[in-house]
Amino acid sequence: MVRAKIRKTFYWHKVAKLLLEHGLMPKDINIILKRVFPQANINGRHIGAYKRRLIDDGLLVKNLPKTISVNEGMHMVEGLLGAEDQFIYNCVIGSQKRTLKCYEYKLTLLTVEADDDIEGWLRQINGD
Amino acid sequence: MSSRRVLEANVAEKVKQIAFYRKHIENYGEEDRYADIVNSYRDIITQLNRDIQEIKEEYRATETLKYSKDDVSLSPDGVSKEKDMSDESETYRDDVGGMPESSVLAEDRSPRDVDAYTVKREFRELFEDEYRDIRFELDLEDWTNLANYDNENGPYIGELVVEEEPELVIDDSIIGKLKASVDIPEEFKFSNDMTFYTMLRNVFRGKNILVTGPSGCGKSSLGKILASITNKPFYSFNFGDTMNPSAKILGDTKFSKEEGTWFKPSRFVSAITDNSGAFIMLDEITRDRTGDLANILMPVLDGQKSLALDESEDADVVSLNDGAFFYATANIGREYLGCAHDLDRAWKDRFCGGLYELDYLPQQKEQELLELRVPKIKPLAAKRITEFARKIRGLYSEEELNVAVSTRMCLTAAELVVDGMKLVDALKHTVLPFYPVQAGDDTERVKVLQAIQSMGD
Repeated sequence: MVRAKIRKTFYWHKVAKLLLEHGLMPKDINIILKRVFPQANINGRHIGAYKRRLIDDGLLVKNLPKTISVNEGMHMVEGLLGAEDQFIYNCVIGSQKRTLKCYEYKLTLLTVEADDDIEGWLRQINGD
Repeated sequence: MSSRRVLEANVAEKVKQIAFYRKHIENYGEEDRYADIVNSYRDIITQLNRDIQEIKEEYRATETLKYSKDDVSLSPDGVSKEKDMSDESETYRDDVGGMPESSVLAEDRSPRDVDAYTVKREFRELFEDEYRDIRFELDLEDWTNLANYDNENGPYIGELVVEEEPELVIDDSIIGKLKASVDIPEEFKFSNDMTFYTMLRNVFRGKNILVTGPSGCGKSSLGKILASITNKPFYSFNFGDTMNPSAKILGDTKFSKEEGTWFKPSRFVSAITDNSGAFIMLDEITRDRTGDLANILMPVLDGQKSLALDESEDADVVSLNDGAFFYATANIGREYLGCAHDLDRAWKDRFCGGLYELDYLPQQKEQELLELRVPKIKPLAAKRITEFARKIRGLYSEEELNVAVSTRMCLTAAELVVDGMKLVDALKHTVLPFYPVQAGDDTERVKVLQAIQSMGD
């Protein structure tokens, strides 16, 4: 029995595919994606990998001619961004912020502890 | 087409097949596959020799054939290439099928014993001239032709299996995208990860959800986590502290000397009209003693999605923002005496996103949570606290106790341990007051005390 190839989809894939179909390079697409997903942890390598995946799956033709400029791509994408992808982007950022908050709490706690220790030593030295 | 041309074409085709098998030998090293290939290779070579002999016979009959580099003889168990370029005028010899010594030895061996490298070497010697292109340029069409080769007319070739291309499934559903993109927060310790993603999906779709479960299992915390992750403005309304239902939901009249009497909309009205799409938590909804809040909220929660601020004909109607989402929590159970009523059937129906019945965390996850929330707790202490909680919950599920130990109680005990209290004392301090003092040796308090003492120091 042949097992189906299941491909994951990320929130930026739809936009990236559209731009790839217009022949834009991954590095240019990265610039455009930063416009709509400013805090996203995406770079040209991620987009390049996605491009290779699309070509391997036969969903994108290789060496497509460039039909739009980066500026045109930016304008086009702003109008096409779906509510679903925007929501998932917010969730990704919210989730990452929560993780950072968790570390922030631990670091603060350690700092306070160190301060308390130093104050304790100073008190001992001064004989308070 | 002359019979000679037909035979030559036949030979060419067989050579192509041999090249195909040779490629297989290079690509696959499996024993079983190798045996089939070697068998097929031997059969084809036998047939090929026969065809070459026929060609030679035909040439001999016409007496025009000269010795050339096409003069190739093959043996089933080995390939010997005989050329005598010294005398081009020499006609064909009959003993072209003579076997070299190595071939005789190979005949005694089983196909499995034939070394793959020997086979490859023989092919290399055989095809290094005119069939070079055929050997190295097998494309998809050749594979297909070989797979459909007519077994009746040609030699036996093992069954060629062309591997089926797996179906491509692109998971672009919202839950699929969420699973791929969003990490589950550390605090979310529920046993099924899918719960988290379906909850996020409900937030996006605006499908309200109701979470029920025992006190202290993390219902309200879960609401705050979801609001934080979805980056929505968070509003919380506790139903237990309701004094005036209409003032809480709609608003109240105020008086000032400058402006006289005026209407001040409630915080709830601000929440439902928030343009960012608010995350509205309705906490402890079973604790509304007036019973009016649920009725006032009915049109907000159902398809009408609106709220009339008074009962006049020209009343101001506030429409619910499309992005607003309701997250309700409730305690349902015999021990929750403050709960005025069970949930109304129609009220439950409004929460089309689903009713989630949360239970206490599994022991391992609860221990992780304690270590996360109380970073200075030692793992062993966290483990003993959660083991105690598990034991008490077991007694509760067997109906020997009326109250279970909540995660909140475990956290309180862990904080006391970190601050210097002994584990047993911390558990007594935190848990025992929940069990009434009664006379007798078999009371709930005695059972809990025994469980605490069994934890040791």
